Amino acid sequence: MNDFSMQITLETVPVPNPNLFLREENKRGGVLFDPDTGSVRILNITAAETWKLLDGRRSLAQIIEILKQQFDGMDDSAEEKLLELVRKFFRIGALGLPAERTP
Amino acid sequence: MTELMPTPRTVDLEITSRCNARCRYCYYQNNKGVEYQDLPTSSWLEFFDELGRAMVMSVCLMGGEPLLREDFFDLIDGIVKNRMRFQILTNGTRATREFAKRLRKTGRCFSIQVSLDGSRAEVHELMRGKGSFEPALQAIKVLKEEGLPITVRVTVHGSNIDDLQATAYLLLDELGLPNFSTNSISALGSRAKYGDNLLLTPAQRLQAMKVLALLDKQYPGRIQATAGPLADWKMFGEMEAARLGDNPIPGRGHLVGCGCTFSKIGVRSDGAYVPCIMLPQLVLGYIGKDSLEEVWRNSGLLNGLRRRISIPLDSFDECEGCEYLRLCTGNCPGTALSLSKDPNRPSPETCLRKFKHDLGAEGLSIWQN
Repeated sequence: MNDFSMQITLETVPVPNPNLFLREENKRGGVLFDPDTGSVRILNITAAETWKLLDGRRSLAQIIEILKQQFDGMDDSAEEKLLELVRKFFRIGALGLPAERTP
Repeated sequence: MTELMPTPRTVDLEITSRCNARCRYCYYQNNKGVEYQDLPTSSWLEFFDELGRAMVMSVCLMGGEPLLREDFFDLIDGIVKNRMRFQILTNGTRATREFAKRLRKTGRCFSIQVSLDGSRAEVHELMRGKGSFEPALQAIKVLKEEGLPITVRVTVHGSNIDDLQATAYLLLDELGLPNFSTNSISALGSRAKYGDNLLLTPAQRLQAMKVLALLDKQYPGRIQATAGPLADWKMFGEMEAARLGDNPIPGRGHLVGCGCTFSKIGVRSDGAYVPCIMLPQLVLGYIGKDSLEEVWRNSGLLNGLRRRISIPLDSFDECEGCEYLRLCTGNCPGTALSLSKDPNRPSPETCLRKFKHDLGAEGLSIWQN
């Protein structure tokens, strides 16, 4: 099985799975819901804001820049944390690569 | 107070008021103040689009008998299109193999519940009508064979307690279902027509509790209950143990018996928003006229029910001097409304002190056996 998540870099432009949606339930975040499987994943506020920025057009580097403006105190480890989060999204099928990059 | 979600996670939909059964204990029929009429397909489909925009995650389709709608799969298509999952409550009479195959193809049905009240026709049909057993049993078999997430609801009444063991054997051993659930006839709906003699007597209720408690040990985790004798048995046992040990149960002592109004809402077959299908008389607005989000956030009636959790039980005369005061939830607002004419009171239906009193001497020793 190919694990695309390991190919992710800051230049990657991930494409969200259109079947999934984020339900923002309170000020602390929300749930990412997959109606096909019933899977419900709780996202904290940073993860929820990240998901909202994953629009299939922005690169991860661009998303980090926006998040840094949104959240005070994001340090140098933010990039690695974002990459880890995005890899998780890939592993659960919430994100994919643009069609031309998929083998 | 608990932070309110911007929209409900799930919505219970009575998509039709029609039913091909006439169960004597039906909670749905014979409710005073309820308009028993159906909406056209277009009204439901527009509402499903609204649910999709509101990011509702699932709906429960009920009735009446939901499978009687000729446009049933048009409605399912609208639900799927709006990224929702769904469950169905049915009597099974219309659940053919063709229906099951089509339902499975949607990939979004996470539960289909068929009602079965006994292991044989003579028991099942006592309350549910002649000729209703075989279609229900066939539906369970077909739905299971087609790989659908089938579950069964057994409603306990005075005439099927002795059959519960055989019913459990049929469902769990013979048919191989993973589980089934139980409840009992409640003080709602058709009880108003047929009277209180449909309800379990205290002695029958105790007997049902004991039988189900034994079955619960025999089939660990496979018999479920959120209401009725098994749920009461567990809750009463917890309360009695806490009283004897002088241990508080956190969060109790207020009207906290129902949290539904924080995560879901109901819609009657005529399009009326209601806080819960157990509270069909409390109309909050109408679909197509009032927006879901507006009703959800700003209905005074709904917000009043949400504030119920802050009402202390010691503010009610009927709870005065009760040794379970700090251990009680006040129970279901639906039966409270039916029995006490006010949803913001404790429900006498699941009052442990009353139950023990009604049982007499035997009540004092039920948890010691």
